[in-house]
Amino acid sequence: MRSFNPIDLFQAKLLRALASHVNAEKAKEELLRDPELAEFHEYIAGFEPRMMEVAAVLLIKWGIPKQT
Amino acid sequence: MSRHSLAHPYTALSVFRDESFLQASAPLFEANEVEAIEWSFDTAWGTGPLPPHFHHILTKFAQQHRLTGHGVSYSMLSAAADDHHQRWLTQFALEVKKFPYRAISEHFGFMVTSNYHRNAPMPVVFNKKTLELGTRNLEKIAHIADDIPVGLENLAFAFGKKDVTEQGEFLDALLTPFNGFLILDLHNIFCQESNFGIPAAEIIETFPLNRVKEIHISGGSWSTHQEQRIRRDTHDHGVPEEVYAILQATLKKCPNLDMVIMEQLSTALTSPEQQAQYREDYRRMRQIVKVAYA
Repeated sequence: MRSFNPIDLFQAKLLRALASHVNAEKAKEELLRDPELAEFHEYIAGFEPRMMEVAAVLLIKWGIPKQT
Repeated sequence: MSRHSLAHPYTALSVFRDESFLQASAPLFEANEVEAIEWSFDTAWGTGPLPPHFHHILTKFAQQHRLTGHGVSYSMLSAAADDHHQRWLTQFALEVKKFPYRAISEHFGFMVTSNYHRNAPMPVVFNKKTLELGTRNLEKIAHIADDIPVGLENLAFAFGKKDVTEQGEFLDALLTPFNGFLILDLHNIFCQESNFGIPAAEIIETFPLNRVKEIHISGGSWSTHQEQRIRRDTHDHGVPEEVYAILQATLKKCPNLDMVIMEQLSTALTSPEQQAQYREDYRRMRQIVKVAYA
C-alpha cells in the first residue's frame, strides 16, 4: 500500500532500500536521488554506510514484511 | 519525581518466564538481593497464561510497588501504524489493570511501517513533524497509564552522528508535555561511543539527566561492517567493564534515579557458566550502586 504520509514514506522507503541492496552505498544513493524524500535528504546524507549495513542485518533478523 | 525510602535506588532485574532465567536468578531472589523487577509485559500478549510461579513473582513485586513495566513493541515514532497502535493500546489498557505498575516505559524509534509489520527499532530525524508524531503517540500511552509515570528509553542504533547527538534533546522534547521520565541505557551509550568515537561522558551530558528515573545495564556483541567493528545491543553476553565504568560515573548525575536494572536475554542464560556470570554481574552492579550512595 502506497503511503502519502511523508514520515511513513521515508520509513517505508528506507526499509525497502535496506532490503533490496546488498551494497549500503547504493541504498544510500537511491534514497538521496528520490525527490519524494527531499525533506529527509540532509538527514540521509549523514548516514554511515557501515551502520546501514547493520540496519540491513537487523531487518533480515527482525523484519516481517507486509504482503504487497 | 521522588525516590523511595531506601538510601540508594532499587537494584533490579529484567525478568523472563523461561526456565533458564528462573534458574539463573533464583539464588538472587532467594537471598533477597533483587529489590525490584522490570517486566516487558507486551512480550506475553497472545501467548497464553503466565506460568503460575512466574505470575507469583510479578504479583509479589507489584504488591510491594516494585514492578516496573517496559513495553518493547509499541513503535512510538511510526507514522503509519494506527491499527497496530490501537491493538497495542487495547491490550495495554487491560495490562495496567492486571498489576499496579510503578512506572511504564517504551522505546524511542520506529519498528512498524506501511510495508513492514515489525522490525528492530530505528531512529528518525528530530524535527517539528517527528516531534508532533511522537508526542501524539506517547500521549495515547500516558492517557491510559493515567497516574502511572510514563517514560522512554534511549536507542542504541544510529545511522549517523546526528542520531547520537540529537537524541537527548528529542527525548526531552517528547517527555516534557507528560513530565515523563528517561530510562538511560548505558550499554546503548557504550554502543554509540564505540561506533561513533564520541566519549560516553559527552553523550551522557546530551540527555536530560534530571528526567532519569531508571538506568539499564546489559551486555552485547561485536560485528564487523566495512572493516570496522560495530558494537551491538544484543543483550546476549555479560556486562563489559566499560559499562560498569559508565555506571559509576553516571549514577550521581541523575538526582531522581529510582531503579538500576540489569538486562540479559534468557536465551543467553542456558549454561551454568552463563548463569554464574549473570549473578556475578548483578552483584557487581548492586555493589556499585550501594557504594555510590553509602
